[in-house]
Formats: sequence, structure tokens, C-alpha cells
Amino acid sequence: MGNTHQKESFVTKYIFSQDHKMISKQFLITAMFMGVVAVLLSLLFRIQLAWPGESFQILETFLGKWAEGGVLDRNAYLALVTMHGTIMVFFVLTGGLSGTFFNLLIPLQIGARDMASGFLNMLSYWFFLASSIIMIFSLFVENGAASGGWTVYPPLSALPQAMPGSGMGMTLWLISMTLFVVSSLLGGLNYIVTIINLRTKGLTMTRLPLTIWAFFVTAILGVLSFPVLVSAVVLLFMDRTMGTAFYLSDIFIGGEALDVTGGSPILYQHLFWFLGHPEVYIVLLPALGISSEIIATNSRKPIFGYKAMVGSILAIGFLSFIVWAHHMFVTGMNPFLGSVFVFTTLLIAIPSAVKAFNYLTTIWKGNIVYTPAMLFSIGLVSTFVTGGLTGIILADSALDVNVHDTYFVVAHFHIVMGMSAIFGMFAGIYHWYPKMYGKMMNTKLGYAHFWITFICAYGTFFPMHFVGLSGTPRRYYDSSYFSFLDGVADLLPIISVFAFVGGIAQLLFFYNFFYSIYRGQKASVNPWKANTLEWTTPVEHIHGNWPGALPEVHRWAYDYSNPDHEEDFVLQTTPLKKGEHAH
Amino acid sequence: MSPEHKANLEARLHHVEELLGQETTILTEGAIEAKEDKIYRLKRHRQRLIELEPFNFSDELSAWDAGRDDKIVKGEFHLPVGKEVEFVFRSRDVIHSAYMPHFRAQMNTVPGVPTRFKMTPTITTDSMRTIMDDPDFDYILLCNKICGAAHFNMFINIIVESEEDYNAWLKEQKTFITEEK
Repeated sequence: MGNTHQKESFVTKYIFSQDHKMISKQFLITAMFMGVVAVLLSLLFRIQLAWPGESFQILETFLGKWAEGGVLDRNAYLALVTMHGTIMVFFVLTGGLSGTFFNLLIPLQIGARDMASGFLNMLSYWFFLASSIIMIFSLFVENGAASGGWTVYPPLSALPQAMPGSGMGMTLWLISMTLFVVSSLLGGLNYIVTIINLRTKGLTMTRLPLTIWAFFVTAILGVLSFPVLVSAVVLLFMDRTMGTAFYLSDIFIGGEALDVTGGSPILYQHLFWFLGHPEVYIVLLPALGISSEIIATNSRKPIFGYKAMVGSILAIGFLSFIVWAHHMFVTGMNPFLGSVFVFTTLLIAIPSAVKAFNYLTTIWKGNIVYTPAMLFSIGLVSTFVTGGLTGIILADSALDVNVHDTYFVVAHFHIVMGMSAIFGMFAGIYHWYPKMYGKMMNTKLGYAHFWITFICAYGTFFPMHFVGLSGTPRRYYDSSYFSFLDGVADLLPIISVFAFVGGIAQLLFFYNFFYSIYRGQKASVNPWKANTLEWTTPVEHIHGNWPGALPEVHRWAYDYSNPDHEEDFVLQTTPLKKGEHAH
Repeated sequence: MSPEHKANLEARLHHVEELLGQETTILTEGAIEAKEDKIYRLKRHRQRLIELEPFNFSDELSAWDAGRDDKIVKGEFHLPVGKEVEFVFRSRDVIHSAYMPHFRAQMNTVPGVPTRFKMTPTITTDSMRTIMDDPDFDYILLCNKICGAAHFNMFINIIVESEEDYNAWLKEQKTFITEEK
């Protein structure tokens, strides 16, 4: 490694790159493409949900035989829902968010030349790309993509004869997810090793920026939980193709008993949610880490309660492994066991509240600079609180029985996980764009993007709480079928209109993003006047990040508005003055 | 086991034996596999029929007879008001979920894993129609776990009524055994 700069060909520089900054951009662009696909899918099925059974030519244009006469096919609807969920959760919010910011920020913020293993890092991206391609490809197979919901519960997903989407589409889904997990593990191990081993001189664990703490814990969660998903996926694959019966028992199809006994579909749910719940925090923690950094920087104040923030990240990480059965309160499990999971789930409210209050106290009386990144971070705090409150309701098994698998749940996780993580991702992009491309994004477009997105996010997901409380189950092709749901029918077109406007507003972001790469204002070295190490590197990317020796760290990352210093920020590399104590 | 059921059982066994004895011309490899598969399943089915007899709950009641009073209902089912009822759920194909939004009750139905819960209906359908001022109101049981293309219209109505009405309704329903040919 080192900082010697070798001449690189186009292929080694832009395609098979082992440079963490380029890999980060590769992840970002791939995730942006996947995000566009996932949003388009959701907009297509929102048309059917708002105006069930009505004919829209646009559906036939996009979906062909899946929407003959402009009315969405029932099976295609389920495939759209499933693929929207899968792509958003895994490819955008896990692969995209982690892949982009972990790769970009870990070496830059800990003062390393690159990741511990550039090769594994490159491999991680290529597995991610392969799995993305397979997942997109599965949309085009004859019987349609996987259609069992993003959780793909067997027996529905295990029996190819159960529905069209359980055929080839489901097989591709399983292959794609296996490759995805390989990518995730290669990346995760690399992140952990890098953070433990390659921190620069003086950068103790207690001086790490909170971004790195969040990424560190996230990577550990991923390494511990994703292998369990692989086991679930492999067993499901064997049930589908090799005649095993891990998840199947006593099944009759068309009046004939299948030759499978002794398995349990509930086993799959345990395996899936043992990943699935940490997965929620794998999505959320990086966004919280990013917003911690951005909120402190733009409030020009030290982050409030640094140690409490680190503690709460660790606590959330630990607790996320012992709450998974709260997704399974109505599977017939022992109510006492349910109450144990209610208790552990409610415990998560404590570290979450610590984080929320620390954000507010950091902003409190700060000298706030409203950059688009700051707005998105504040938006994240808002959605984190709103969605967290409904989480407390859902954590209670007695209440959950009533709203389980209704739109109330859809509203909850879209706000607390979907919107918070997306806001974190946007915040990160606006904040570190100067570091990625050496240009500034347009601030005015950023404001417009934020406000439209923020209003449309609430406009889309807030009414869903009421739809859910009325008893509308999720994944229903047409809820107008039941007259007792008529009371909330008027909300459905409103939700869809907000979703369309919010979706179209993302064009502002894409225009801003790609235009600024070429025509954006040139960035200075430290445009946000931040303390962390990445702002001491040159604007133009170089191999090895720092031209000379690696920087030495003398203080923590949050020395803002320190009265001993003239400027309101003090770079981590600034030596302590005489008589000054390190934090 | 009564003579008529023994005869019924023997007739079914005979049918299976007949199917097993059939000769067909096999043209492709796939068809051979399909036939072997079919024979395997038929043999299993025969084995089950043979094993039915020795399995007795007690000396008087065979497994065959124990199911005689099981009722099969379609379209709607009735519950007696003010009396605790226990639901025991099974599923024949995939996971469904019995969701009764008006009762705020829900339980998944899982193939191979019976699930259960108890509740006491307190308001009859008639009273609820008066309260809601809606003569068409019905309690409903929806499917709330994705189960295929027809997931969104899988439901059954629930009628809560007095115990006398409930007993009268129950008497009218066909039992499992009369459905057998």
C-alpha cells in the first residue's frame, strides 16, 4: 500500500478498483439504481391500491402481460410488493447505505490508507453487484418474481405449485440473497478488522467519531446475524429442490397429501427473524451514526453525551439479538414466551430515547447551520421519534395481536426504518459529497428536495396508521372488497398521491447529484468546518488518502466552539495547547 | 368399527389396489418418474388406510368413529354469546392467519403446528347491527397472512347469537362422515 501512486488503467481505476473511495461510489451508484427500481415498483402498486380495479394505460405500458387492459394482475401485485420490500431493505438500505458510507468513511475517519484488505473489499462489491443483477433479472422470468412477501415464509415460498411467484422467481431470489450475504460478510469482516487494527496514532476508541462507532457495531451485527439468514435460505432451497422437509409438514395440495412430514414452518420464521431484527438496526444504526456527526458539526456544538451515545449504540446492538420473536406473537407461541420478548423489546426504547434526547440537547441552543444534510438529519430525528412511538405499541403482544400484519405495521416500519434510514443516507450524501466528488451540491435544490420529501414521507405513511387501525391487512390486492373498511377508503388515494409526488421529487436529487459531478462548484478542503480526519485529505482523491505521513490525532472528534480556541472548530489533528486537557 | 364403515374402508382400499394394478404405456423418462412417484404415494395412502383400524381412542370408539360428529361449515360460522369458545386452528396448505378485526383477535394457522386461543363473544350480531345502525353488519374473519393470489378475498362471516339459536344452527350442519361416499 503506502502513498505511492501508480499509473492506473481505466479498468483498475473505475471497474475492478480496490480503492475504498471508488468502491464506495460503486456501491452508491448501484444502490441508487436499485432504489429507483424499488420506488417505481411501489408507485405501480400504489395505483392499484388507491383505485382498485380501474384501468390505467401506464400499468400496461410498464408491465405488459402482468397488467392486461391496464389493471394490475393479482399475482403481479404480490410480486411487486415482495420485490419492493426486498430491494429496499437489502439492496438500498443495507448494501447501499453500509457499502457507501462504511467504505468511504472508515479509512478516512480513522486515518488509514485504505481498508485492511482492498481485495476482499472489491470482492464484496462484485458479489453485491452479482446479487443485484440476479434480483433484477428475476423480475423478467416467465412466471414472475418472488411473490411471498419480502419475508418469503414457507410453505408458500417452498411449494412451486402454491403460486406462480414460487417458481423460478423464488429460486433466483434465494440465490441472489445468498450472494448478498456473502458480500455482506466479506465487507463486514473487513470493516471490523480495519477499525480495530488501522486506527492512526492517538485515535483511541473513545476518540472515535460516532459514525465509526455506529459502523463498527453495525458490522458486528451483520457478521453475527447474516449467516443465520444463509442457513434459513439454504434449508428453504433444499426443501424446494431436494425433497427435504425442514419447514414442511402435513400439507395437502389439490386434495392430495404431499410426502412431507415433521418439519415446522415456524422454524423458518425463527431463523429469518434472528437475522431480520438485527437487520433493522443494521439499516438504522449507520443512519444514526451519520446524523450524530452531521448534527454536531452543524450545531457547532460538541455532541451531547458522547459516552451515553456509544453506550446506547452498544446496548441497541446487544438487545437487537434478543427481541426477534416480537415478529411472531401470533404464530401460536406460548404467551409467557411472548411476554419475555415484550420485555426485551421495550428495553430498546431506553437507548433509543437516550439517542433521541441527545440529538435534541445537541441542537439545543446550538449555532445551527441549516445545510441540506442538517435538515435531513433533523428529519431523521423526527421520523425516529414518530416511528419509535408506534414501536412501543407494536412491542406489546396484547396490542400487537390486533394490528399485526396490518397497515399499522407498514406505517411503523416505513417511518422508523425506511424513512429514517433514507434520510440518513441523503444526509450522508449531501454532507460527504464534497469528499466523494470534490464538488458541492446545489443547496437550493437540496432544500426543495428535503421539504418535498419530508412532507410526502409523512403524507404517505402517517395516514397508514389509521388505515391499519381500521383493520386493513397489508399485502391486500384490493381492500375495497370488504365494506367494513369503507371508512378509510378515502385515505388510500391521498396516500398514493403523496407517494407519487415524493417519488417524482427524487428527480431533483438525481439532477443535483449528477449535474454537480460535472458542473458543481469546486469544494474546499473543509467546507463544513468539521473536525474529523477526512477533512484533512486533499480534495482530489489520491491513492493512500494522505500525501505525506498519516495524521496524528490529539483530541476527540467533537471539539466545537471550544472557548480556548479562536475558530469554532478544532481539527482532531490540532495538538493540545499548554494546560488544555484532552476530552 | 361398524360394518358399514368397514365396508367403506374396504371399498377405498380396493380402489387404491385397483389404481396400483393399472397398466399404462410409458413413453418418456419424465412419465416414468411421475408414475413411480404416483405409485409411491398410493402405497403410502394404502398403508394409512390399513393403519386406521388398529388406532383406537378406547375400546368402543375408533379413530374412524371419533370424527363422526365433526361438522363442516362453509360461508359463515356461528358462536354462542357469553360463552367461552376455544379456537383450534390447522392449515392444509400454507400459513394463513385468522384475523377477526372486530374481536381484536388474531392467530396464525400453520400446517403441521396446531395453534389455539380462547375468547368470549359478548355482543350478538343483532345487537351490534343496532349499535352500528347498519343492518348489513357482520363480524368477519379475514386471512391476514399472504397466502396466494386470492389472499385479499379469503374470509368467512361470523354470527354471534344466543345459545339456543346456536344449538339449532349446529344441529342443521352436516357432519364430516355424511360427506363420505
